[in-house]
Formats: sequence, structure tokens, C-alpha cells
Amino acid sequence: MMDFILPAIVIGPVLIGLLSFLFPRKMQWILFFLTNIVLLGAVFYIRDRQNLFFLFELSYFPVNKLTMGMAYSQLGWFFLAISTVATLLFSAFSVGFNDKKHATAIAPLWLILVGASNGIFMAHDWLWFFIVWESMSWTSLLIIGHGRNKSFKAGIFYYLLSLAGTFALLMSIWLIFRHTGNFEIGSGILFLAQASVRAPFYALVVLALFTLAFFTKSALFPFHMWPSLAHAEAPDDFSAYLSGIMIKYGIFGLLLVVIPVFAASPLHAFKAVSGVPLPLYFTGWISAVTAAWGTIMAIFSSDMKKLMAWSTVANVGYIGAALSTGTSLGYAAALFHTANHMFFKGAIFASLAAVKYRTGEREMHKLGGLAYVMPVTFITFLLGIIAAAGIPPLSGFASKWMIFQALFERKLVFQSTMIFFASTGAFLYLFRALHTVFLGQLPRRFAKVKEVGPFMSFSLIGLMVLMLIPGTAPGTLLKPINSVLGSMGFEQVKTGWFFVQGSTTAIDGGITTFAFVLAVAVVFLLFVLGGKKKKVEMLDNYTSGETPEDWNLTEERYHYGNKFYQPIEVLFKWVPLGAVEEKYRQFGNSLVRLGNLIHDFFQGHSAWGWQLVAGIALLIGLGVM
Amino acid sequence: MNQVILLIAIPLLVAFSMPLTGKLFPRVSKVIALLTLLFEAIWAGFILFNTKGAVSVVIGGWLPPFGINLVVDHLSGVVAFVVSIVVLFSIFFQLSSGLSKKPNFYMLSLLLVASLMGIIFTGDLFNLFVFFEIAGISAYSLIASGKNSNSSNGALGYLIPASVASVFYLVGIALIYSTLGTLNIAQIASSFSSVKPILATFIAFSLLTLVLLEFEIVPFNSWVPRAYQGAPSSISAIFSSGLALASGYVMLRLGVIVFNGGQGGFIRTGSFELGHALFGIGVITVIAGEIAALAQKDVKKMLAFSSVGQMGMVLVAFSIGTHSSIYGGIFALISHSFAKLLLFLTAGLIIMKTGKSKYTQWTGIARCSPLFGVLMLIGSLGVIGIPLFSGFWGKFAIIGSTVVLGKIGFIATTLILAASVVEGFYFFRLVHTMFETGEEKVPKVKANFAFWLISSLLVAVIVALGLRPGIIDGRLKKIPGELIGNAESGYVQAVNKQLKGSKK
Amino acid sequence: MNKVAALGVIVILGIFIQMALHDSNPGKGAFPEKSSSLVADSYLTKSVSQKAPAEISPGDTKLENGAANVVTSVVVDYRGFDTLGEVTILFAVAAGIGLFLKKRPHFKPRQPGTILKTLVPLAVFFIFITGSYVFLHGHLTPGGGFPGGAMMAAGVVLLALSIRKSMRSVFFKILESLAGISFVAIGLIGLYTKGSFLQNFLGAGALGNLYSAWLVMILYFIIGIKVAAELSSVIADFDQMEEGGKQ
Repeated sequence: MMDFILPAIVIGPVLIGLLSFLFPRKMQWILFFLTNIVLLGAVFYIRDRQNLFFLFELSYFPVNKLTMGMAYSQLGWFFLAISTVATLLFSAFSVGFNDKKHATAIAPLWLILVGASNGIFMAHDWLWFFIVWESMSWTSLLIIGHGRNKSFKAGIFYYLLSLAGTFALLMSIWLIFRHTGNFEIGSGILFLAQASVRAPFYALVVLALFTLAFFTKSALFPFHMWPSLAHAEAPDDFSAYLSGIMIKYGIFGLLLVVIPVFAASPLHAFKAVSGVPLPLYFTGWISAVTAAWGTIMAIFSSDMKKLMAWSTVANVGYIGAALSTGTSLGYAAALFHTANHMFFKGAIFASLAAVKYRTGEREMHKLGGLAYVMPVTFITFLLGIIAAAGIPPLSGFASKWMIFQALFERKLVFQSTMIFFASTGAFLYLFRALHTVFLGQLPRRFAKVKEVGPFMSFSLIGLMVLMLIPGTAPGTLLKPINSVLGSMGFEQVKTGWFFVQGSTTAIDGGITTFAFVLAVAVVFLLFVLGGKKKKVEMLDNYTSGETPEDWNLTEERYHYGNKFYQPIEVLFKWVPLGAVEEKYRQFGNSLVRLGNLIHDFFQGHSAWGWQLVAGIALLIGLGVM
Repeated sequence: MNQVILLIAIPLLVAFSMPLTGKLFPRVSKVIALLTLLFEAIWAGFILFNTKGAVSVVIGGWLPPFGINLVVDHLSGVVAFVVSIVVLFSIFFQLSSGLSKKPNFYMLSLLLVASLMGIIFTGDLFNLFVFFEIAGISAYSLIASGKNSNSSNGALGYLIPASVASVFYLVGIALIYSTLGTLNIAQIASSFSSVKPILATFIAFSLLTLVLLEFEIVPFNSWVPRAYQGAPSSISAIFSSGLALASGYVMLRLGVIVFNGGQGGFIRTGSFELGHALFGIGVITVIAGEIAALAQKDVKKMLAFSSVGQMGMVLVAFSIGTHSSIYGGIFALISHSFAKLLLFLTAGLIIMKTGKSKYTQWTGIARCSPLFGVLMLIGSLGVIGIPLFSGFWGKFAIIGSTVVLGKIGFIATTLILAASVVEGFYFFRLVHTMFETGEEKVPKVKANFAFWLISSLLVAVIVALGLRPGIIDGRLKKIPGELIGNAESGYVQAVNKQLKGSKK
Repeated sequence: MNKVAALGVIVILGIFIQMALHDSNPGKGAFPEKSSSLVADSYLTKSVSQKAPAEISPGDTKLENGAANVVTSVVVDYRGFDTLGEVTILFAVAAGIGLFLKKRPHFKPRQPGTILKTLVPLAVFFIFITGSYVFLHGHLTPGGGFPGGAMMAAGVVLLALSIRKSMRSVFFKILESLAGISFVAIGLIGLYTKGSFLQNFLGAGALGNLYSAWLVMILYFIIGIKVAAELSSVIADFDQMEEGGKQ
């Protein structure tokens, strides 16, 4: 069924975005919000319309008949739906966030980005996929940069990695086209599955190129460092989108191409390690390392946005590990965790943005006690980190449990160990963030801080609901995920509304929720009945009445959040954690040096004779070779 | 089609008349020059519109190979049209920018456009040399007319190597004439394979030295950075978008039609794999150009090195010589012409109004005058080859034709794309710097109507080509077929038809 | 360093030429024994567009080209378009000099001596006569517009040196301009009367006559004037630069 609703959800936001450049900033944000409401309606309108497509032809010579466009797919719809819901809530947050003091001019670009994002999920062929993918990349660069030099440095790092990825994508597209004669994703997968038997090396190269593109986007090792720069420096309200949705494009890509190829290729095509094809097994290791790495770095961060960015990296590592099990339980776990992470990380970043909106601080040891003045934000954050830590009954528990079940099913020891290490580490950094930002004592200068406004509160509450429901009733997400798995030809996971069957055991969301509520009620009762407390100013406690200013020391030095995990840092001193970044930086510097050398080659009038000689010699040399 | 000669004759006529009108009515003469350029653009468009296939036009009533002929086909039509537009826009920009130039400046621009048209249309190897000389000599003076310290330096740096390379070219012509007894490109093309292999290679080298020098290929292009920096921005734009385009065209024509006899595939002269050599040197050019651009702070130098990189990519495409690679190369050349023109003119305006030529000094310019930032952004996107902008389709086809060449092709593609990543970096660095909020207050940059007209037209072209390559696809897709034929290419056929007619 | 580079160029060239000219492979070498394949043969026998006449003798009227001087017939008629280009190159040089010469202080020139003052008018008279003869007889005898024009320009230089008054370039500019316009105009007349740019629309005339090969003759006349005027205007430009410096 040829329909214009598919192009409308892509081109609509883009056009509105372009148009909104003309409006004042407040208007832009309202337009952004309204567009997202309409988009949500449109997305649920197209649900389950399997044969929806929109294709058009381009006159382009090197390809005989260049057809490109979009088509409905269950996988794409799932991503589209969760991202649209999340975007709507983020946009509500942004409407409140961008007041006179905090306004950024990113709304039009963000709209374009939303359009491109929808286009990615609904892509029918590689060319379309590439076009929207690349458009998404550079618009997000401009948003992350948003006119500040420091942010740009973070953004350009992200963009360079992603550009390298897109160019890898470009190469692989042509390598497939050479054999299939078209750009369709479906036939490309079929071809790769066949090629894995006939020309395994060729198939592996193409798959590696695809994987490179998706790894750069999803910040898997060795590209794990960009979120800590980009997410931290991006506009505060945009970080939620960046960390919640944009990091998942790579996961979507892996599910779109790499996984189906391994699923479709015969068993003997690749060597298998504990039942997993070797390349996929290798991916699993990378993901596991990413998870551990992200966790360690998150523990060391004192900047709350950086901390959460590293936590995102760790979570992508979990998802990648789940995907690389090659079982339908693993895929379901990955999809489930993708959705959950989208909501809880969105909630965390949104609440952090709310904190920064009211206090203007990002360093955790300068904050504290905000739970007293910003209760909604606090509860959102609390639920967010409970979900992130994977504590029942919130959403993160069910998905993390499923990831472990998938890993156990294949008996992947290394991955399980690493993920286990990572999720234990998650308690450390998440608790630290909660404790230093929201608990403890409220600094005097923040005594007059108020709760955020209605729009932002609405968004935070919405995100809370989205974290609670899948935790209590995993079926709300797992049922759509099952239909995704079904449409991709995989086995479905056994699940009810509350009940999920894993590989070793089963859980029931209802029971865990009930237990949790009961426990909280008991603790609350004890809290109410408990003894009286006496408040002592933190500094009085630490300095025995002396004034730290006398020794040129600031209050922050005495904050309990300052160098919170120094012992652990000492423990991990021998791990070269910043090595990859350093290598990239060195490489960049040597490129600039090389550029200067080449430029010097052009200087001076005497050089031309040499150059003519060199040129002819080069021509001869290369021709003879 | 006879009227194609007007593209060369009319600017010459007006240029010759300019000493007269320039003395009598200095102001009017500039307008006349501009009107002539407008005529060029319209006429080139008319010629292109009416082109149905390769047609040979004789001059002086003597049939080729005895007389000189012009050849109009889709390739020359398209290139001539783009060149005429480039020159028109650049000179219009120069004229309206308020920087007064002597009438001689406009006279030389007319000579430059006439010579570029000659380079594009001529079917005679020696005539090509003559037009290269005219282009060179006008170019030296035009570079030297710049106002900054590098102007005369740049002109000299171009003059000397270009003159030496011209001598090489002349040697090549002499050898061809003494061997084959003709200077007509088509006739040479049909009998070039009978030349002894080493001699053929030597001839190819001699001719290519000049062409590669003008085509800004490393390491022949020592003149590029200084000349671009020294020349007035409008002239830098013509160099990058007009001269380089025309030279690329000559490269394609000589390479595919003459040296390779219109067979397609990698160019071979005798037993020498010239195509491989050009492929390699093209890859080197891409890498060297982009990395050198990365290290530049001066915006015009940065753009100059970026042109070098782009030309390297086009050379790679041409050297492969398949239908899709030639298509991609031409598409990339044309799109580069428009995008670079926009970049040079916008950068030139900013440099002229603020007096700041380094990008590090451009902080905040687009905060006060955002449209300039947008123009630079669109130009950059067009050059880098981001989808939805014109550069993409050219690059897409080129990558498609290099990546399938096996192992070497795969490595080359990787290198080219890695260089493109570098390109993306410095362009976005430039654009972003403009949008940064700096400490000091930046004065608002104002432009006149002419600039907005030119830039909006260019933006429209870049975006339109990006959204719908089909706009020019209809013409472009006929080009490879005209160049590469089974027995002989359409170009050679058209001239040979006349040759047969001349047999008494 | 530079000299080594130059030596490198020469050595590479030398090796290459040696290899290229003494190549034992099959195929055409640089100097084939039979030269009949050259287009020049047709120029020599004036048989480009018609059958070669059995014999070409002075007074022949039905030739495709009436110039007795074969070189001229090639330069101005068969390949007249190239010549238009050559003229343009000279023009571009002159224009370029005018564009980037900047006025700057200069030493005061010496006043001309008596010998120069007395003899120059006489010499210039003969130079002009010779010069105009050379370009008017370009289609008959060796010479033509370029050397003739250069001679005339030399006369102008002599005059300038001996008179030592500031030369006005306007006159030369106008002359140059008119000559250039008429060159292209003749080309265009050819285009619109005969269908091809620079085509001979005046007839060949009788071989060897002064009034023959009309196109060649007129074009050489124009070229002569143009070259003379251009070179003179270059000199005038230089001269004015000095004048400007005095102020």
C-alpha cells in the first residue's frame, strides 16, 4: 500500500524544522512539542500496517533504476514507537527548560533530527538509510556544538567517528550492490548470508564495515569515549535524547543487518564458540569490555553528566552482549533493555537537566540535599537509578535479568563475568550520584531553589510511569518485542503480562512489585516511627569549628562527594583507561604536523623543479608497479 | 552549432574593444564586460540545450585535420555552461563588491573566459596549447592584481612552473606531429595505438605535465596555495571552479579518447599502465590535499587545498575509465565548481569586510550575521559530499566504481574516505567557529543585493542537485557513452564523418 | 639544489627521448621514413579541399589559397584561429602589464644625445617603411605581421628615446583596439557569409600578385598594426610609470 504517511513522518518534521528557523525561539519549542504530539498519533496510526511503503525513483546513471524509499517493518516500528514516545516527553521537558535564561536555538535542528531519525527506522533500502543516517549525524553535530568551542570539540570528535562509520557504510553498500544490483536491505542480507558460505572473507569484510558504522554510533569499544565528551557537553535537555535515543541507532543497525545475516547463514559458515558464530562471539567480548570500561570510568567521574554518559556506554555494552548471544532470548533482552534504557536514561538526564536548570552546577561535589527542595526531580532520579541498577521492580531489572539469562543459556562465562562486574559497579556510581546530588545537606546557597515548572514536571512524571510499567508488567514491552521477533523469523519469548520465562528460571513482575511496595512501606513506617534527628552543619562536623578559608581551601574540598571513590581509583591505576583517547589525539596531532609538512613542500620558489621531477618519477613508478 | 564559435569570438571582440571603450567610458566598459559574460552563460546554455550528440564545427572553412575544428558534445556543452556561469558569478561579485579594479581586470577576465571556452571546445591539440597559454597569461596578471603581499609571489609561483610545463606540452605536440602527421585530436585518437609504446608514453607524459599542473594534482601543483591566497577572491573562485574544471575536462578527453583510444577501462599507453599511475597519483593527491588543508589557518589556503583534494578524487575517477566512474567524476567536478564558488565568494566577502583571513579570527561572525554561516555550511556540505547536497552523488558514484576494483581499489577507497573524514573535520571546524560566541564584539557583515542573488542561486543549485540528481542526469549520462565506444567514441566518429567527407 | 633539480629534469628528459626515439618495438616511430602522412603535404600542394593541382605556378587563380608564401598560408589561413590566439596572447601580456604596473619613483632618465636626436627620424622613416613592407608582403615573402609589427614598434621605441617627451598610450590603445576588433569582425563576416569563422570570403586572387590572397593580406595588415600598437603601448605604459614617479 503506497501511502504518504511514511514520508510525512520524515519530511514533515524536517520541513517544520526548516520553517521554524523563521519563528522566535519560544515559538520554535512549542512547535517542536506539537509536532511530536502529531508524530505520536501518526506512529500509532501506522501500527501493524505491514505492507505500508513509499518508494520513488531517481534518475541516476550509475544505477540503472534507482529506487529508494521507506517501508514498514516491525523492528523499525518498535524503535520508532519507543523513540517517539520518549521524544514527546523530552520535548515537553524542553518547552519548560528553554526559558529566557536557558534558551538555545537548537529546536529547528532537533526537529530535522527527529525526522531523520524516523527515516532511519523506516528505511527500505541502503541508500535511503545512508542519506537519513548522514543527515542525522551532521545535524546532531551542530546541536551538540551549539556555538560553544568546548562543546564543539566534543561534538566534532563524535562526528569524526560517525563520519568514518558512515563512509564504511558507503563502502559496504557498494560492495553489496556489486553483486545484488540493487540497494534493498532485504536482498543485501540474503546475499551476505549466501556469501558467508561461498566467500566468507568477502562477507566478513562487508559485515565488519557495517559493524564499524554501528559501533561508532553506539559507542562500543574502541569508540567508547565519545559519549563522555558529547553527552556531557551537549545542551542539557538534548543530552537525554542523545543518550536515550541516538545511541541506539547502532543497536538498530546491528539488529537490521548483522544479526539477520548470522541468523540466515548456515551453521557451518562460521566457526562457533559455545554455539555462537565466532564474529558474533567476538562482538560479545567487545561489548562486555565496553560495559566494564564504561562502568569503571563512570565510577571515576565527578561530573554528573559525564558519569551518566559513561553509564550509557556500559548499558550499550549490556545490549551488545545480549545481541551477541545469537539467541532469541538475547535479542528480546537487547530490545527490552534498549527500550528501558531509553526511558530510564532519559529520566536520569532530564532530572539532571532540571538540577542544572535550577542550580547551574554540574560538578556533583558542589551539590547536595536537593531532595528537600526538588521532590519530583528527586523521585524521578531515584526511580531512574533504581531502574539503571537493575533493582526490582523497575524496568531495568527485568531486562538485565533477561540479559543474564541469555548469557547463561549459551554459557558465555567471560561476558557474564564482565556484565556482572559492570552491574555491580553500577550500584557504586549510581548511588554516588544519588547521594551527592540529592541527599546529604543542602548547601545554603541553594536553599531557595524551587521545583521545576509544570511542563518539566509532566515530562518527569511521564518518564516515571514509563519506568514503572515495564518493570511491573514486562509484557507491555515484551509482547510487541515478540511480534518483532516473529516478523524477523525468530522464536518468540515465553511471556505473559507479568510473567517472563528465562533459560534457567522465570520471574513475575507482579510479585516483585508487591514485595517491593511492602518493603518500602515497612521502611517508611520505621522511618516515621524512628527517633529524632539532630542536624549538624556538614562543615562544622568536618573542620572542628575552624574555617577552611584560612588555609585557602574551599568548602567543596570537604564535601563528601569530592573524590568519592579514590580508593577504587588507586586500585585501577594500572589500567590504561585513557589510552585509546590518547592514541586518537596523538594521531590527530601528527596529521596536523604532516599537513604542515605538506604545506611547506609548496612553499618557496625553488621547489617547483623538484616537484616536476618528483611528479614524473611518481607517474613512472606507479605505472610500472 | 556553427554559432558555438561565438562563445570564443564575442568575449575576444569585447576584450579587444575594451581599451577603446575603457578610455572613453570606463564605467560603461565594465558593464559591457559583465553583459558579455551574461551572454556567454546564455549562449552556452543554448548550445547545451541544442546538443544532441557530438558535432564538429570547422573554422576557416578547412576541414579537419587540415583546419582547426571545434567539437560540441554533451561533455563540452555541460562543462562550458558551468564554466561560463562560474565566471559570470565571480566577476559579477567582483564588480558589485565595490572594490574598484582597472578596466584591464575585466578585459583579462574576458580573455580568460574566451580561453577556457577555447580549451573546452577545440578539437586541435596545438590550438589547445594556444588557449592554455592565453589562460595562463591572463591568470598570471589576474593573480598579481590582488592586493595582498602574496599576490605577485603567487603569480610568479604559477608563471614559472606553468611555463616549463608548457614547454613539455609543446615537445609532446611536436612528437605527435612528427609521428602521426596530424594535430587533430580525433585523428590522433584513432591512430594513437600505432605509435611505438615508449614514445606513446613519453608523449602522454609531456602532455599530461601541463594538464596535471593546471588540474592541481600533487606534486605538480606547487603554485596552488600561494596563487589562491594572493589572487582576489573572485579569481580564486574562477581558478578552483573554472580553470580546474576545464583542466579536468582536458584530462578526461586526452586520457580516455586519445591515450586510450576511447576503449574504456584503465588508460594504457602502449605497455605502460598510465591509468594505474594516474590512479595512484590521484589517491596521493586526495590524501595530501586534505591533510594539508587540515593544517591551514588561512581560509583561502584551506579552500585551495580542499580543491586539490577534490581534484585528486576526480582524477581517480577518470583514471578508472568506466561509465560510472566517468559519470561520477564529472558530477563531482560540476558540483565542486558550484560549491567551491559559493565558499570562495562568501569567504572573500567576509575577508573583504572584516579584513580577517584566518578562520580562528572568524569567531562569532555568524552569530551577528547568521546567513553567512549558513552559506558556508551549505557550501561545505556540498563539497564534503553529504547526502541531500550536490557533492554526494558524485562521490557516491566514484566510491562505487573504486571499491569494486579488488584489493587495491579497496585500499584506495579507504584512503580516499579517510581523507574525506579529515575534510569533514576542517570544514565543520570552520563553520562552527563562525557560530561560536566569542568574547569580543563582532561587527555585522553586510552584503549587497548582487551577493545575495548569486549566493541564493548557488544554494539553490547545490540543494537541487543534491535532492534530484536527475536534473542534470539526463545530459550527464550520455557523456560516458560518447567518450567510450565499442569501436570508436562518438567524439571521434563525429570528426571522422567530416574526414570522410573531405576525401576527394 | 635547484641546479640539481634542473639537471634531474634534463637527465630524465634525455633518457626518455633516447628511449622514445630509439625504440625497437613495432609501431610508428617519431620520424617515419615516409612523410606523406603529414598534413603539411596538403598545405604544400594546396590540396586541402580540392585535388592537388599538377603544377603550381605564379599567376594561378583557381587555387584554394592564394598565398605564395606557404608558411603564411598555413599560419594565417589554414590555421588562422591559432593566430588569433597568438595575437590574443600578446594582447593579454600588454593588458597584464597595464594591470599590475604600479607607479613608483624612478631615476631621472638621461637626456638623449645629439647623434640620437639627429639620426633617429631618418632611421625611423626607413624602419617604418621596412616594417610596413614586411607585413604587407607577408603573403608573398618571408615575414608577416608579427615581425613587421615588431619592427614598427622598435621605431616607436627609438622615437620615444630621442624625443623624451612623455608618450601617450591612448593612441596606441585605440589603434590596438580597432585592429583587434577588425580581426574578430573579419572572422565573423566569414561566419555569416560563408558559414565558418575566419573563412576566406574574398577569394584567392592570382598567386604571386601583391593583391592576392586577400584574407591573408588583410589579416597580416591588421596583425602588423596590432602588434606594433601593442608593443608600443607596453613601452608607453613603462614610460608613464616613470613619468608618474616624477610627480
